[in-house]
Amino acid sequence: MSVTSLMPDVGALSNQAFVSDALTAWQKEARDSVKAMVFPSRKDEAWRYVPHRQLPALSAYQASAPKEALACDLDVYCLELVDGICVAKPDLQGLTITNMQEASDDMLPAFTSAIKEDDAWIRLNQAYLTHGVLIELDAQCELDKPLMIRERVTKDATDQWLQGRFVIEVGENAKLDIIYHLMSEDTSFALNGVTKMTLAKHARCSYLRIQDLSSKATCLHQTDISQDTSTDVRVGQFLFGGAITRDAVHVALEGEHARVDLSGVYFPKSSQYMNIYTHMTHAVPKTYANQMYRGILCDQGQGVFYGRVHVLKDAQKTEAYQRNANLILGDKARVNTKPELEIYADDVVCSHGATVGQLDEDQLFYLRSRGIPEKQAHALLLDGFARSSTDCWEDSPAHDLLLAGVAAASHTEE
Amino acid sequence: MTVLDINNLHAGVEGNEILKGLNLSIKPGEVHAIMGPNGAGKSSLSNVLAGRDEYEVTEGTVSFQGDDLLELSPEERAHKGLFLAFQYPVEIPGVNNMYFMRAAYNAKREANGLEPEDAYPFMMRVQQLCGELEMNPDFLKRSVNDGFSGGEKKRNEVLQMMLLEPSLAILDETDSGLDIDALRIISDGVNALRDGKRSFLVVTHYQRLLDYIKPDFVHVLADGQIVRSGDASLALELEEKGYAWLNSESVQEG
Repeated sequence: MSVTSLMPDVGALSNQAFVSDALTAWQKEARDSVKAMVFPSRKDEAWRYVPHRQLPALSAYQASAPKEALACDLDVYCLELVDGICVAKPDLQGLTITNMQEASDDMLPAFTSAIKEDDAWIRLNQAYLTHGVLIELDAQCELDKPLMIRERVTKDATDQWLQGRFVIEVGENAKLDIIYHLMSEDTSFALNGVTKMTLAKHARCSYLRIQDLSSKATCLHQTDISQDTSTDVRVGQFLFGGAITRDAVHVALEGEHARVDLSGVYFPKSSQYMNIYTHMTHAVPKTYANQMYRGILCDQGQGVFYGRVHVLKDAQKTEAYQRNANLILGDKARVNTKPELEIYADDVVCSHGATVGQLDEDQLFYLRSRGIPEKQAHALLLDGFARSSTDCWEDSPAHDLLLAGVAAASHTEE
Repeated sequence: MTVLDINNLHAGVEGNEILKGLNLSIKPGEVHAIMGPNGAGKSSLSNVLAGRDEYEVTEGTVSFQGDDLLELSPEERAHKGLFLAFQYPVEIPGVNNMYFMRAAYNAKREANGLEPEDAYPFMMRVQQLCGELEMNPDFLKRSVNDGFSGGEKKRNEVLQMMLLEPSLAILDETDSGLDIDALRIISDGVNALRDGKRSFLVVTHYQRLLDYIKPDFVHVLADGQIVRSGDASLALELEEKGYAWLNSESVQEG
């Protein structure tokens, strides 16, 4: 599928202009190149199971009137965007938050640093960006609470494509916890998002993505993380709601002793489609990655877990683990799980495991025999199943959000 | 008034009849033991009474405190005071033991028109019971039965029984996999619940457990029927002569 076929009227895709000439030029380059590009299709392994034909056509983005920020009841600093417009921004020492439209030329390298899996979607994001934010944390700096990026989409954005970009730079020896919470009103829209995160030496960062979308929403997102020496990262991908979701995370471990732990839950119901794609690149010796993903598939829900582990020739002493377990609850539910390990080093420890099963009848009976009603017993078991992922975030103020997401999905499951 | 009245019960799995016309009546405060060789239908009886789906009842009636037991869901049976201590307690990774017990406790309270109990008083209640069972309270923080040893699992069953205070407790081979010390502690727990009103159905293969939990009646189950009933001395006789003795006798009688 060519890019233009999805863009009936490219000229109508408006966006806010940049102050920076350099950024304007960067965008123009993408606008020129993107039209000739072809979207990844079923022929591309990494996009093979995506229902390409069901993706909505692109339409014009029109900035709506600025909204009020929502109150935030979690113990976090909140950066809030509504329909792509920033409505709340914390002011903290050591942390700089810049809207891309207002960025100066000297911020260009940060904004434009290459995305590893550059494709037509990434280029489209660059060409027709609707909102972009640069978040920089100074070296040695540590926030006392997580930074929550709350991205809300309202009915004013109905049938629009949003193209969002977050660039996060964590300085040497700094520590940053980010909770990205994407939520929407009950309306159809699409979001093509990119997050680029770069960690300098000894930096620590957690990045928890929670998607809580209308069942008519489409979300394609790629996170690209680069880790220098002795960095420590924790990534979470928790998907609830949305018609079509592809949530990709690419981690490049480029310094020795870099570690990353990834966890997530996908819980498609009715006819929802959810795809988690992870790609670990172990580029140097002595790096570590551990993945723990759980899928619960109800009704005619479809899930995909695609986990690619790439260990380069020099990356000796790599440790790479991957586990994916799935529960199929609907007769017509479906999951494709695919570990893909490509290992060129000869002194590594790598393991992967994928399971697909059903709810354990013995467990259900045990709970019911103690007086716990069937529906509640069901929900308790699903919560228990998801715990190996949700409990990776027990220390986060958003932990309850994850449990609530699983519980809400469990209780409405048919 | 009986607690449990089983009349001509026929039940099986996937068309194979296992219980073939079983009769049993239990009055309040009584302790009945069911013994029998492997494959006699002891565990099937426990499972049918607790309401496991796989078992199909083809004939007969079971009344429990005046209700038609077979019409009730497993959770309704529990709310009305039936409790099954499992032969093989199920491991449930990810489900916290304390949370599970509170959910069970409060489900029963709510079904009986009572307010649910708050977390703190409930925790105190469970911890006290843990003490009585000489059980490390750390087990409450773990997932239900997950990674517990055989003895710990059985202790966890008795803990739930003490918590839920059933009117009829069925102990399905509770002695299997227990050493002598654990057997004594668990039996003490069971005996502490004997108050003259609560009834027990103790299903066991060996007489050993009955040294600790003294039954009022002993029944021998063979090929899906109760073939002999008596007092505690029947268990001793069985222990001495073995189950083969029954077979030879019934053959002679036949």
